[in-house]
Order: sequence, then C-alpha cells, then structure tokens
Amino acid sequence: MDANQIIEKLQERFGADRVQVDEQARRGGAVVAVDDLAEIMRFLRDDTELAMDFLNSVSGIDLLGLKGTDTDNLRSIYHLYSYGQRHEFSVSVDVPRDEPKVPSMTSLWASAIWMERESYDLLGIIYEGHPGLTRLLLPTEFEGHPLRKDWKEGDFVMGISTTRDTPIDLLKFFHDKMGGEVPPGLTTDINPPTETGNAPEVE
Amino acid sequence: MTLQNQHGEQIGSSFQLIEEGNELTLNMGPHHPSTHGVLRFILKTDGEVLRRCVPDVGFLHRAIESIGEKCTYDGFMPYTDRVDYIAAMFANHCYALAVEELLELELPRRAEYLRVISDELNRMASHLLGLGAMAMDIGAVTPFLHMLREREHINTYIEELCGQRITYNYQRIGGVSHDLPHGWRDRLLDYLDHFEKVIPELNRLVTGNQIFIERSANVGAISAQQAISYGLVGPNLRSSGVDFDLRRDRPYSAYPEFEFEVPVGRGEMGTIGDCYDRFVVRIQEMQQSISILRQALLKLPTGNHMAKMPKKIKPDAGLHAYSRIESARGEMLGWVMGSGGKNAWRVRFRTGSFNAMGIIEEISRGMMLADVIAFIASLDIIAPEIDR
Repeated sequence: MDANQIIEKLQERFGADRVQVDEQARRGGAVVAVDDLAEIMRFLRDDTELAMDFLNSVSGIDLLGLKGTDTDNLRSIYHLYSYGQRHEFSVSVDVPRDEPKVPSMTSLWASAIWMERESYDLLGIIYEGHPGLTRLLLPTEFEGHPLRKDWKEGDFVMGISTTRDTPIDLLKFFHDKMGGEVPPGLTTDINPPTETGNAPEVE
Repeated sequence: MTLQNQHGEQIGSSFQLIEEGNELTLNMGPHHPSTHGVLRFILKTDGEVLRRCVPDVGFLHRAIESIGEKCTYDGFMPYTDRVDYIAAMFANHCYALAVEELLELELPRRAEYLRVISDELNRMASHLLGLGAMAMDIGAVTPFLHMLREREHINTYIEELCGQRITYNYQRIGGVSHDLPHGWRDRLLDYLDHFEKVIPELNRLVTGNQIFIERSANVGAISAQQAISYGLVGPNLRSSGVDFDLRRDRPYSAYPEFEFEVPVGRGEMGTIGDCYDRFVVRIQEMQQSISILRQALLKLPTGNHMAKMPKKIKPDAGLHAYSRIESARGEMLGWVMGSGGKNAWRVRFRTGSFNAMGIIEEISRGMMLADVIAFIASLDIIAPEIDR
C-alpha cells in the first residue's frame, strides 16, 4: 500500500475529519488529534492489511516561529514501517506548548521506551503512561529542554561556564602578569570581545 | 547515592558498591574497556547472576541535532561524520539523502555508484572493528589485531578517496566530493582478492574456535518478535531470523543494480539470535560487501560525480522528508524539516545503536556477569551513535 491508500483506509475507518493528510510530508502521512492517537496507532499496528510492526522513530519538533505557521505547538511524529507488507507511513500529532501531553506508545512498541525518553529529554513532551519517563541523554540535574526554540543557554550550565575569553585576551593577561610589553600583534583593537565573550563576525 | 568532596559538597552521583541483602549494585563504566566508548551500566547482581542491568547513556552527547538547526544544509555535513565515527560514511549518506529528498534531486549514476562503493568499504571497516572488539571482549586479543590490520588497509583506500581516515565528509548533498583517484579501482580490486582470503582465515581463528563458540553460542538470544518490538535493526535484526535488508527490500542509491544475498541468523551453534549468530551474520555480510564492491567497480558508469545543484538550498518551511539507509549498525533514519531559510528547522537521526541499547535491560536479566560483556559486544554498539 502506498501512503494515499493508507490514508484512505484510515479515513474510511475513523472518518475524514479525524485523519487529515499531512501535506508537507514528502512520503505521505497523517495528522491526527491527541485524543485519537492511541486508537489510530493501535489500528495501524493490529490491522492485518496495515500491520505496522516497526516503530521506526519518535521525533519531537517545536513549531514556535516556523514560517507559515502561527502556532507555538510541539509536534510528535511517528514513523512506522511494516516488515510484512513493506510499506511505511508517518503520523503527526500536535500538542499545546504549556501542556504537551501525548499518550505513550510503549504498550504497542517496546522501541518507544527509549525514543520517547529522548523526546521528553530534549523537547519536554510528556508521554503519558510511559513506565519511566526520565532524562536519557542529558544529566538529571539539567534544567530545560534544549531543542525547544525558546530555550536559551545560561551563563552557567551545571556549574560550568558557557562563555570563554578570547585567546588574545588570555595571551595579553599572561603577558601583563609577567610584566613584559604587549607585542604589537596582541593589542586589544583586534576583534574586541563583545559582552557574550565571542568575537564579532569579520566582514 | 551521592558522592561528597572533602568540604562536604555534593559533587555528583556515586560510582560505588552498594550491598543490600544478597543484591549488590555494581557500576560498570563509563571507562570500562568493553563498553565500546563512554557507556555506563548499573548492574544489580546476586553473586555472579545479573538481576538487572540499567544502561546510563549521554556521556558523548554533543547536541548534533541542535547543531543541525544552526548550520546551513551543506555546513552540517562534517558534523554528520561525528554521529558514528566508526562508520561515518553512512551518516553522511543518510543526511544527504534526506536533504535530496526534500529538494527532489536526481543524482548522476556515477555518484550513486561511488556512494555504494564508499558505503560498502566503510561497512567492511566497521564490521572488522566491531567483530574484533567482540572477540577481544571475550578474551581473544589476536583476532582484533588481525582485523585492525585489514581495517588499516581499507582506511588507506578511503583516505586516497577523500583525504580522511575516520571522519570522511565524502558524500555531499548532490553526490560525492571527489571522483576516484587514478588507478584506485584496479588496486581496490586487487585488495578485494586479498581480503576474500582473509575471511576464511578469520573463520579459522575465531568463528570456528571452540572457546569462542562456548562463550557466545546460546548467550543473549533475542527472538524475532522481541527484535521487531524493540526495533532492532540491521545485522542484529537479521541474526534473529528476520529476513529484511533495506538495500534489497526498500532499495535506495544504486543497490537495485547489484546482486547479493542477505545473511540471516540460523542458530548454527545454538539458538537463533544468540551472540554467535550476530557474529556470523556480520562475517557473512562482509563477504557480501566484497561481492557488491566488485560488481560496482566493474560496472562503474562514466559521468559526473556531482549533480547539478541549485544555487541555494532552501526547502520550503515545514516541508519534511526522511531517508532510511542500511548502515553498518543497521537502519539509520535521517529526518529533516525545512525552515524556508538556509538552515534546517529540525534534523533528527535515529540510529541502530540507540535501538540496540533499549533491549539490553530486557535480555540481560538473569544472565551471568561475564556473558553480559559478550552480549553488549555482540550488538556492535558504539557510544557516539547512541548519544549523538
């Protein structure tokens, strides 16, 4: 089955208003509501014609500020594949930013356990019903979800400074400390550091 | 479970032994030699039997997906090398393919062939290291050296191709960076004749070795159902008896033009899907790689190695596409979403090692401590690919 046939089959089963076509997916996909997700995913896995037995990926995205959209939703995309039928499909679900709760797929595919943890870690999407939704890649003490578009790196992350002096400043510092003259190449007028500590772009 | 420094300040989580009744909590890694990179496992053991093995990953997290949002499409290419530095060609290919799918680019056939050639060379190199490391983890150091010797030869060929031995940055959006050097094709064909004779030697040294068989057969068997549910991919999936290979069943690049077999685990020395099967499947895959390489080198078409590229790569906002390729560690999914500008809105890699890590906790329950080393090694896990 190709993606259009899968969408037709889903629309036949759930109604055309509950399964929308993802126009922007190159290989076809559907957009569904959060409340329908668990039911539709179960159907995709258990139906004998669809038989999506491989959950390939769970990817989170932040839509805040994306051109052409005026939402600030988070989105979770599921890429599915069927080893028996050799076809693939993707399902997207949008959730509001302040309450990003999505039903967990861990009861359908065990591979979701780690992928949902990763998505929670980096984007803060909460997968309800997950057996242990903890941070995976980042340390447990880490604050915030760095793949969100409004996440800002602080001056310090877990006690480690995120900015550093320019090498020229460092050279000058050591040179001054030793009481010598600053060599002509090391004057401060070369790329004076900005407030963030990074040298400005050279035009 | 916290560790304090001499001033009584908390400096991190503990890495020490904790004894509760019969159960011992033991830390393995992050710098354990058999953990294939910087990986940590928290083991709960009863004597020598494991009750639980909890992987702790993220020590090599370099925020590659985040960097992908901040670079231009071409500018991100060198970073993809670092996704999996043992088999860098595949992440190159995966990302390039995803962007090409966004742009709907058609590649010259020669470029596709060069991609297949570099992929298969890299697959051989990666399997050699993975198999050698598995043999070494089990206690055989000699095969590792034999395999590294061969890997060095392959690296030299790749170095002639693109100037690098580890992080190749060879495959680009729209093709590959360089055409073949003069005389390279014939020399590689000669080398393949040599390498074909090395595999039986390795089989005599390791695969047929009774100690190796005792250590790996019937250890860590994964059923086909478990493998599919946990999303194992590539050689790990095939050794569990699932006959699936993206190169054959969902062809990409020039793979439909070659004939090759897909080795599947048969439980030769024990159960289907045990550590021994995973080892044998990889050995057989190298043989298939030789066959694909020979066909590709002999059939290599003339033409350009780069497609005609649009001046600026600017896919529409919100448009997203993904690619799936058969990497050395199994299927890799690369997913890219356009932002309408010169940077991607979101880049994602779902890698083979990441999925393989998820199954360790399930399978290792009740295993012997020494067997879990063989089990982890047989999954051919590489830490940077998990953490990205």
